Amino acid sequence: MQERASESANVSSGTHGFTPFVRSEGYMKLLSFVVSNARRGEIMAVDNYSEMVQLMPDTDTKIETVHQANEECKHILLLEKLASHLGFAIDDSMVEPQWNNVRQHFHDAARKKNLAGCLIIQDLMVESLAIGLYKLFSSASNGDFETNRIASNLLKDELEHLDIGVRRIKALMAQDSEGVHDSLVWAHHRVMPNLFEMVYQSCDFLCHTQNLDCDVVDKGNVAIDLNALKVASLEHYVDMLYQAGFDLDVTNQLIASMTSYEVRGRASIGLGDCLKDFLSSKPSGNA
Amino acid sequence: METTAQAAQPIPVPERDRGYYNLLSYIVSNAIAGEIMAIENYSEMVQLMPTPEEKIETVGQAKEECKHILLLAKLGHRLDFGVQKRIVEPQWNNIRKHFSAAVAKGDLPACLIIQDLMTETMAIMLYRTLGKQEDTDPTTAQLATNILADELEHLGIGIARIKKLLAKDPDAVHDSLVWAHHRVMPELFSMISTSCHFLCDDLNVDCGSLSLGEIRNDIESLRVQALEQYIDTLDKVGFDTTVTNALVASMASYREMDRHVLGLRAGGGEAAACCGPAAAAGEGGPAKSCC
Repeated sequence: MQERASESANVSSGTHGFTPFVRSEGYMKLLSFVVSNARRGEIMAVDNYSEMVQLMPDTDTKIETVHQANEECKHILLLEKLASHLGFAIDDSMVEPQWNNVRQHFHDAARKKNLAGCLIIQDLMVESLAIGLYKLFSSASNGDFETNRIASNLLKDELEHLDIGVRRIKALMAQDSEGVHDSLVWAHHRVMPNLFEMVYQSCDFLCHTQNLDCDVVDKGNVAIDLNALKVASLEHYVDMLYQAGFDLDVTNQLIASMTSYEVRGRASIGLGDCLKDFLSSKPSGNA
Repeated sequence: METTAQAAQPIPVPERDRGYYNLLSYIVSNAIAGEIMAIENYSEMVQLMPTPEEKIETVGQAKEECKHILLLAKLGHRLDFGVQKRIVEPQWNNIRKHFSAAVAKGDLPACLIIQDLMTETMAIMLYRTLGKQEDTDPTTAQLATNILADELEHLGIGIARIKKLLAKDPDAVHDSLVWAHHRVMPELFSMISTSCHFLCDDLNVDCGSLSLGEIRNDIESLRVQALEQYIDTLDKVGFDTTVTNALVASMASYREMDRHVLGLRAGGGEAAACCGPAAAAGEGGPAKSCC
């Protein structure tokens, strides 16, 4: 019964203008990798939002944060349902180890009662990555109806969480700008290298652990490649820094520091050029 | 499982004076404080849950407690009495502190015992008291009955979780129980009163004028009910009665607790600690000497 369901699910739907295609074995493995990691990110988000509740200053904000955790719970169930529907495994051996580091840094911030640090890590940084991922998978370049639809649904919630985060950070900044900027600098140096390492090394990770070369996988009508996620996440992160209204003198330094994240020995994806474009197109600080 | 009352003669609703609403204001504000603490406790506990399914279940519990806050605040609005939507009395913060200490130690059994057993037991007693329509009013009684159903479910979840942990490591779970009992139960029992530190001032009510007679109750019988509920919960989990009897007996030292509430002789001596109906009936072992 389950096998039959999997077989039929191996052909993507041809509804809503999508052209059906047969999902190859390699593509299913790729999906398994992406969804297993997305699910891990959602589990971490549940932990993070839940741990943040106690730091919230009033009952209404606590309730709002529990609501955010609850939405992330729904995302976990949706991703599990997608995997079960399409017939690929949620595989913890495919989950990248950097998630644990990000969670640990959040936990450290929570222990120090650094609410700004917690908000910056979860609502801004992690959400930027989630938005980059779901935006890519809900774009026209993803010709797989089922994954496109789920990504669109998840994207809406994550965009809302980012907005909540930006609003909260702005409120904290109005009270203690210097403290919030210190938290930003700390969180950036702790968390962003982990998030970007995950994205950068995803193909190497897949190659080493699953013997899968993501550059040559037959992805049918899907024109997404994982390199695009690097740029998409970066765009959201940088844009979010501007949206939140951080001091440009600080954010420009942080953005510039990210050029050092590119892994030595790997072909450059042009991150340096991309960042230079950002820096030249955005207004400068006081300097 | 709670049973609903059979449809019978409508219960006459007495006219309520200001004293009744002042009392409700005090009780409901304290209930909200307990729910706020519960949100924080459940949320903080999520990280200790071993599987995504259990994390999701725990977030669901926190979400239900959020709903209770909104419903209780709405009750005040509807019946026109003031409520505080924040923790005012220090005991709640003390319990929170103990809970956080358990989280910091990674002591999941202690967290479950504090929140799912001890606090939920008190919540059950509170909502049972408010849920009696003949003692309160139809709106309050209905709301309390609805919330009670959620709290009973939470207690059930807690009992199931602790039983599982108990099966794996009984010594550690009993140690957690002893620690949590000595830290938390004095705080919880001290709140079964109509006195307060700051709440009455915040609500602008005269603390001395609050009387449980407004809901046909008195402090002593509430303490007895709370104790019975607590003992019954300990029995249901299946804790070692040698341990639980000693814990219950220790409650005689609480400033608020009359010794006869615990079934202890005034002069000590051959004290028979209270135990629940299951232990008294000898379920899972020989019948105990109970009060």
